[in-house]
Amino acid sequence: MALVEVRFFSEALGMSRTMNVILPQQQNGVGQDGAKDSGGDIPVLYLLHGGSDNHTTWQRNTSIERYALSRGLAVVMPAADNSCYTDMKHGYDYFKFFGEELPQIIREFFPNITQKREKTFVAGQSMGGYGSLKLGTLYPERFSKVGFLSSMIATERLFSKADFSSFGENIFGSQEEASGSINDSYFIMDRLIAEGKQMPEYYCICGTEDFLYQDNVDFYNHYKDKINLKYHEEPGEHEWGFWDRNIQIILDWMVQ
Amino acid sequence: MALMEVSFHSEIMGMSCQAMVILPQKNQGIGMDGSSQKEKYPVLWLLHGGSDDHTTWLRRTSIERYVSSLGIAVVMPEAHLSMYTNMTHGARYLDYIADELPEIMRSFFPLSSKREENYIAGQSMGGYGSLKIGLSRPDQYSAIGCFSAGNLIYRGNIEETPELAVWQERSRRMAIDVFGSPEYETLFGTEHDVYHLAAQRLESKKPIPRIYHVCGTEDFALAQARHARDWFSKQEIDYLYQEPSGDHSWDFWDIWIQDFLKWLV
Repeated sequence: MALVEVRFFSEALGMSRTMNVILPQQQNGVGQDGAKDSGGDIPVLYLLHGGSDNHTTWQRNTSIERYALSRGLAVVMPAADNSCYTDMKHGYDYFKFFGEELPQIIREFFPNITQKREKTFVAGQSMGGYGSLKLGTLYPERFSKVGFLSSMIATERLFSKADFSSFGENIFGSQEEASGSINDSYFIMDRLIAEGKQMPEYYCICGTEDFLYQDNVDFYNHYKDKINLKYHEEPGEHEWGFWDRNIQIILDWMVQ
Repeated sequence: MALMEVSFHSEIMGMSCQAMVILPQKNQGIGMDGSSQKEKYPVLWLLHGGSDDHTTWLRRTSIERYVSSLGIAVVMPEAHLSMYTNMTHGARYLDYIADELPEIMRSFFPLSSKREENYIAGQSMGGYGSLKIGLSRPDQYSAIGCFSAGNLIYRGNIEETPELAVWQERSRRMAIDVFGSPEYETLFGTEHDVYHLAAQRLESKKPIPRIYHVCGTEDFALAQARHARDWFSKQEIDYLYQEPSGDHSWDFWDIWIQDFLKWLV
């Protein structure tokens, strides 16, 4: 595997940013198999981190590199700060970066990463789960599969707890502003279904002891008969051991 | 510019290796020009000196700023204390840097493989390395930059330098590990002899890289640099030699890399 730490300028955010990119190699060191030759069209997973994390966290807290390599996947992990992958009301345009600019940057720097929808995937945990759901649902022509683990689904969450509410205000303004906007997970899903366009496949995973468990169950129950949505739950909390185990389920589903 | 730090597997080295890569970007942020996007960028392979690593050029000079409006990529590999040589007791660094590294880097990034768009340069150990790799693979590079070095096996009076006292024993051991012998005269006329490599290419009548060569007048490597000047200036090679005041230091290399880039493009 190659690991690339990329420092680049983002026009959308107006500042210098960082991302880590994992690239498969056919040969690797001792104790690690290589990937088969993808013929210059490497499947790619955009892997989104959660609140308080950065572009290194998935790498450090899980074995994502080993899991990706054996499946021949490139993995793109940009830093997103605490933005909820949103064009913030008081802050920067993170959704514009992730939605419009990032794919162009990847194409510019990594010409052997695929441009094909059937080999382009997005996944994330917690805040990154919300981001994955949002990106996949607002860009269904780009992503064929969306995985979301222990996700924040309803923005109400950020406003109901006192310590998160200023966080929520800076990002969304208010719950009233978030409802019925592109930041509303239910609204955008309903809209996509109504449009009748080709949709990604979705996979929702959550731990039964996770504080977001009910939100995930509700989302699954609401959409299970309306869209291609798989679901898996097991004992577990909102923590990295759970995500290290369950990202493997998502990856197997993505590359099958 | 975009800056990449790459860790990757090298089959020749048999381990994980590191390199820094600078790639042009159109937009840069305040106070810095960018350059337009190309499908594939010309590449400068920039080699570090003894005691350095893949980050040193970046940290001690403003290389990223100097190339930002030129639209060329820069790859800076880590080469330890290898003299850019296929070591007698050690790994095949020359093959790694000359053959495998470009193949790997081109599989990741939009880098040109055209001879006229590939250049190699370095300081000190990296200056010898540039001459050696550039002249060992003259079909791959159109230009060579050698800073504060020469044909290393013609030592001049390097060993008499007090600043290098701590390196005396180390350089003896390095010579054995790298070349198989501390007796440099036994290496004349071999693959380690840059004059021999150049002479072979000249005889073939095929294109030979242009050479940019600079050494400061207070540099302990001056005698070695002049020895190379005397040899190269007699050949049918596009060869530029300059001897400004300066010594074996990063202040000097930060200034003269800029002049090299002007000469290059």
